Amino acid sequence: MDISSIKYRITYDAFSKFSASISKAEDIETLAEIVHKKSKYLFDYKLLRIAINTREKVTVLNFTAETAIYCDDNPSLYAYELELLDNQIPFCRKQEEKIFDAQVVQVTNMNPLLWGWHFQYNNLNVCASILADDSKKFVKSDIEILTLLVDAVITKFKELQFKKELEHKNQNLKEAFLLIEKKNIEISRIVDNQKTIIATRTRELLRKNYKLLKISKLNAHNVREPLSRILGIVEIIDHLTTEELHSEALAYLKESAQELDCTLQQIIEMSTKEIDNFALE
Amino acid sequence: MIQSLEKLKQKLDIFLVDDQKITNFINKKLMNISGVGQQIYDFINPRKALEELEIRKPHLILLDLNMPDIDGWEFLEQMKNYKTTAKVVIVTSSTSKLDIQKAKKYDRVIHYLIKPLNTHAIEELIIAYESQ
Repeated sequence: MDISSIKYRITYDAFSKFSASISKAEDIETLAEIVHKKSKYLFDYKLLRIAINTREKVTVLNFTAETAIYCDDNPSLYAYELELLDNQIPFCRKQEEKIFDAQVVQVTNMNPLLWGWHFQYNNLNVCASILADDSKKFVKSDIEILTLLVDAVITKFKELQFKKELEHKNQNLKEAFLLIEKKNIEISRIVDNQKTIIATRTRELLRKNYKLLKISKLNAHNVREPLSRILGIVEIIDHLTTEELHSEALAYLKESAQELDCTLQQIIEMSTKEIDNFALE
Repeated sequence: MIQSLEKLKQKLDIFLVDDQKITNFINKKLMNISGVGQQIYDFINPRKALEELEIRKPHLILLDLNMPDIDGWEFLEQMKNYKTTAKVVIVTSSTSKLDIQKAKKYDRVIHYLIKPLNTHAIEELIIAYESQ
């Protein structure tokens, strides 16, 4: 087994551990942490930078020996990254110009090289770049493992992104559900209220109806009383003596007729009052 | 049969109980026309009629329902406190079925007549009295 085979085996072993670790990541911060911790076993670099461009936003992961910086509030991209997004052509060039933030990484004079690749995943455009020098040397044979690393990171990133979206949607659904429940309660309260009002109104109407029926019964009764007397007198009138007719029957007839008239007047007055009451309501 | 009915008519002592003097006058006249009654007493005060129940011992009472102070129903109830065999015919201007049903609960009530009465109604109540 030659040296390169041994190196391969060790690297792949490290990569499988790396894969196992990132599969457990619950959020992007943890993912960045794991990449930072494990990537040094895969290849050397001074700076590893992964810029993920979705249609909505840009997320950038920066790794140096010391730090892992994760940024997703639309950080600005370097000129070479914009170039990569445009032409998608991988490159490797000398990088003496100090374009990087000195607090993140120091560009040395030991043959600094900047590597850049473009990857396309459905609707994701990814720029991966590596800054290396003689102290931390990145070589061509490391590209394959870098590609695997980017693959693994992006797959996980998509999964986490999807999870986040799902959570967001779930939250929205939950809120919508709560709102619906709240509205339902409100609606049933309104319905209950209406029911109570209807019940009260119905009771009121029944009461009024009963009252009117009673009035109408009483009226009919009060009308019939004097009327029946008048009819009674008419019934016997042929059998009365002149004396009886003048001294009693005619007076009774007049009295009953007056009572009938009085009753009818009362009824008219009462009905008018009831009608006025109805009109007022 | 007809002869016995004629005899019966003439032998009856009758109370007329109605708060309206006119009604009593009419009914008394109708009785006269139909040849009904040996003695006919009319009362516009039902209490007075109750008081005289045991003295006059009427065979038949024509009773109005709708009266102030004590009404026909109260009169029927109070009759239970007197020694009397008098039968009652209710004479009312009420056509209420409830009243008719209520009247049937009293054994002494033998007939129910709607005002105004006429000679035909008088015949009816005599037949009702004879056949009970």
